[in-house]
This record gives sequence, structure tokens and C-alpha cells, in this order.
Amino acid sequence: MDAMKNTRALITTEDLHGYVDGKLPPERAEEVEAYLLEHPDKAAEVEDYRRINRALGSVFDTVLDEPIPADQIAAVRDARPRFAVPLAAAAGLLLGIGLAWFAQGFDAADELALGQLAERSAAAYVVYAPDERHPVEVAASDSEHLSAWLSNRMGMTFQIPGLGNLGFELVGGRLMVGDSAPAALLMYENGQGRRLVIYLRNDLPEATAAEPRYARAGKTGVVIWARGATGFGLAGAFSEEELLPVAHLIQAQLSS
Amino acid sequence: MLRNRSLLIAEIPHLRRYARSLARDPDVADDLVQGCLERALSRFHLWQPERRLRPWLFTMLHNLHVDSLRHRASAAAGALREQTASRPSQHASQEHHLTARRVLAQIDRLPPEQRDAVLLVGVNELSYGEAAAILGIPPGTLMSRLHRGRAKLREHLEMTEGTPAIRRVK
Repeated sequence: MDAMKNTRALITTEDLHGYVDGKLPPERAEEVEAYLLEHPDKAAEVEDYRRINRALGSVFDTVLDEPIPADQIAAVRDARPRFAVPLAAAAGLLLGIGLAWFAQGFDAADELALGQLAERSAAAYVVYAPDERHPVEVAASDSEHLSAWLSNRMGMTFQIPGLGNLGFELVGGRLMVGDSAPAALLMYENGQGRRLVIYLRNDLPEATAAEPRYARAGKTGVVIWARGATGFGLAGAFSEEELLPVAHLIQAQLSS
Repeated sequence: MLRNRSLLIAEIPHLRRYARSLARDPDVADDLVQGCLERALSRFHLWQPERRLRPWLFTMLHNLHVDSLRHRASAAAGALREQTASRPSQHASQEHHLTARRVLAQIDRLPPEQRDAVLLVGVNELSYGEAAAILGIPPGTLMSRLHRGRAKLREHLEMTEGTPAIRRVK
């Protein structure tokens, strides 16, 4: 009983507002309720604050249900990311392809690493995907060995992403060239025989971070993203709308 | 980018509600939202995905609002506020109009920093920590402004006296 009294004595003004705004954990809210039962003046104060909130809600909550003005949606949908000319030029060197790079103002060092990631992903697709007889070194039938082998050589553990949800089955993989460590290439194919590759490396500058971004190199679409030293490049003759869901699926699988 | 855009579009209704509480006039509020979206798009690379998008956007919206107030002559701002404060919501019940109009009129008489706290917390579902960050103040400061603002409202609305006009609105 004494303990109860002590707790009640500790109810502060902040608790009252927290109670009004629904910010208290359930146990604390119960303690406030008990306190209010014994303090009618405070209970009246709390009720008045709630009434103020309700009045605000009655005026402004209806805005949530209004249709979003078309020009606001258009502002978001049609905004063009800033175009980084120097990187676009640099990115075009490899394979003589014009890689349009939509930079969003990342750190310049990261930007170079990411640009290179995009180039190499596109190049890997162009070189290996059309190969009928030797597209991969280790076939999907041996996927356990493939994953162990690539993990070992790259110095990281990774699961081979399953893209069956989006209609892509694993063809297999191969070891690739990185900078300070080997990189990996995984190849997938869908029901129409269209292929895409994941170029994966683990030797980026440590602090690199980038959300999936799309770029185009001729007919090859590329989505790259990075997390710490690990960089991902997804490449194939697909549109942004087709590649981004694949990137998000891979992200979801590798982060869990 | 596509996912970021859909995330951003999903926030627009909440941005519009907050903007409406700040500006009152629907057109002025939507201009604020438009400006906020443009600013957000040009700075999306600064947003850290592990942080909530809404407080980040609200911070920009609030700053834009403060800027626009600063640029407006105070007399004009006062006139506008008076005019728009009396504009009733189309959907709220008649009974609520009286109360809401009185509450808004009194909120507009509060010192700006208390008004900011009462509106931000009262209109939007944010944690106190987020609300404090949006206004650029420590959480303790937010709580004291919130309390002083609400206590003053209660006094000005004569709630403490039990005046029937606002007393029973259920």
C-alpha cells in the first residue's frame, strides 16, 4: 500500500500529458488512471486537454481522407534526379557503352566505387549471359558447393538469393575479378529464357552505403546498392520497374 | 528511387494535415506541402532509411512554414489567421465547430513556440522525442512548452471555470 502511494505520488505533469496523448506504456497509464480517481482536479485538467485534442482532430483529421492533389503526386513522380555529368562520362569508358548515371549527391569516393560496381555488373551481364554452353562455372544443381566456394573465396558468408517468387531460377555462378578480393557472379533465368546476373563484391570502402539505384547501359539495365563493404549489382535486359522488385527481394532475403 | 517515391507519396496526407494546422488556409497549406516535397526530393540522399521518414519531412515542412511567416508582414499574417481560423471544417459536426473555432482562435493567441508544441503534438501521431526533434528543441523543453500552452488554453477558454460553452461537447 505504501509502495502504491509512493508510485502515485510520483505522477508528474509530463505523465498527465503523456496520458492525454496516449504515449504512456499500459502499466504507467493504469497508474495515472488510479491517480486521477483520487485527484478530481487533475482528472478535470486531463479531460480538458483531451477535449482540446479532440477539437483539433475534428478540424484537421478530415484532411487525411481528402484526395491528394494531382500536382503533389506529379511533383514526386516526375522529379528527375540530378544528373551527374562527369560520372556519366566516366562510366561510359568500359565496353564503350553509355551508362547514364543518376547520381543523388553521394560522397564522391563512394560514387566512384558505385559507378565501377555498375559498370562491372553491366559488363558481366554482357559477357556471360548470352553464353549458351558456359554461362557459369558451377551449376545450380550444385548450389551448396557454389555458395560455400564463393563464400570462402570472398571472405564473407552469403546465402544464394532465391528469386522464384519473381519467376527467376538459378542457373549457377562463377568467380569474378574484384579489386582486393575476388567477387562473385550469380546468374538467373526466367521462363522466357531471359537472364539476369547478380554481381557481388565484398571489397568496397567500408563505409559505403547506398539504396538501390537504377542506371542504363545500352540495352542493359543495372540496379546497384551497397551496404558497408558489400556491393550488389543487378544487371539484365530489363526495365527499372522489372529490376527494382528483384533488388528489394534480394535485400529482404540478405538482411534477415 | 521508385520505392522512395512511393514512400514519399504515402506521407503526403500526413504532411497535408500538419500543414493545414500550421497555415489553416488550404491553398497556403498545399503550397507548403509542395515546397516540402520538392525539398525532400532534392535531399533524399540525406535521408537515412533506418530513421522514420515522417519526422524528417515534418522538420522541413515546419522550417518552410517558419520561413514563410518570417517573409510575410506580420499584419497580413494576423489578418489571414483571423480569416482562416473562422473557416469551419466541412466535415466536422456543427457541435464541434463552436469548440474547434474557439480552440483554434485561442491557439493562435499563444506564443509561437507554445503554439508549435500544442499543434504538433495534438494533431499528429508522433512520439514526444520526434516532435522535439522536429522543432529542434530538447524533449524537456517540448514538454514544458506543451504544458504551458495547454494550461494557457485551458485558462483562456475558461475551461477551469466550467463554462458550459466548451464544457460539454460530447
